[in-house]
Amino acid sequence: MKPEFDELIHAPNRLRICAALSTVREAEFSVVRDAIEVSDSVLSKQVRLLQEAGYVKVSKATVNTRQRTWLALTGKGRRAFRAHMLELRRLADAGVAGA
Amino acid sequence: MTKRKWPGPEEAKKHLAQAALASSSMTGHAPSGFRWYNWLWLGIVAVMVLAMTWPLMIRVLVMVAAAAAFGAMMAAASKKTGVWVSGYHPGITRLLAIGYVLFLIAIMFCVEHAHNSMGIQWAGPAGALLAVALGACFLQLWFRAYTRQL
Repeated sequence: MKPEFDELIHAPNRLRICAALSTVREAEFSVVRDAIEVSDSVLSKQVRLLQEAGYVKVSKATVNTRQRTWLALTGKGRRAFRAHMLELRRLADAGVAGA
Repeated sequence: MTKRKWPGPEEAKKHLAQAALASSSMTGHAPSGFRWYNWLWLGIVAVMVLAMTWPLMIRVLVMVAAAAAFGAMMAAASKKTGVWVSGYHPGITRLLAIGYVLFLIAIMFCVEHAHNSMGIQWAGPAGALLAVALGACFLQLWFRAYTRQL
């Protein structure tokens, strides 16, 4: 995979959302919110941006009469996240080599 | 249009650390080695292999019941934990599981044919041995996929 910097993913909260979702197939909204320690509104706003870019899939499911929101990285999102991480590693390594 | 300033090594390191922290915060949900559902899968495979020597109808019923039980347990676990417990390569792990079951079914029919049409008495145990060997290979691949080494 080619390292590629992704401006959308690079923002700290969105990077953390992608990193958390990258380890699982799907996670409930509250689980991601607690894992990355942000408020509902912050997570909701960042997820909407990622969703608009086609990086995150949002689905609703009713469990015990309560509606729950599930988040998952799409194939495109997973590839973009991995490429971005490779680019960050390349930049960090270049810094070490140049020091 | 303004062009974003490329992050320097320090910023890259900081972001890498943040990403690592966010990934690890899912520990307890995310696969990190052999978890209960891997053992459950192993148990189901053992039952399926054992079923190779049982009568055809019972074999088919056991396989369907085992697959349904595994699916139900995984779904229940996902509702309880709020995370769908699957690895970084859900597609690969799923394909490997389905592939193995297809191999088992193929072996099952070969054993049935060898036993009934050709009269080979040792076809059942031989099929079971083959299923165990294949199971070991698939399990190794499955574990590698789960621990992101594939």
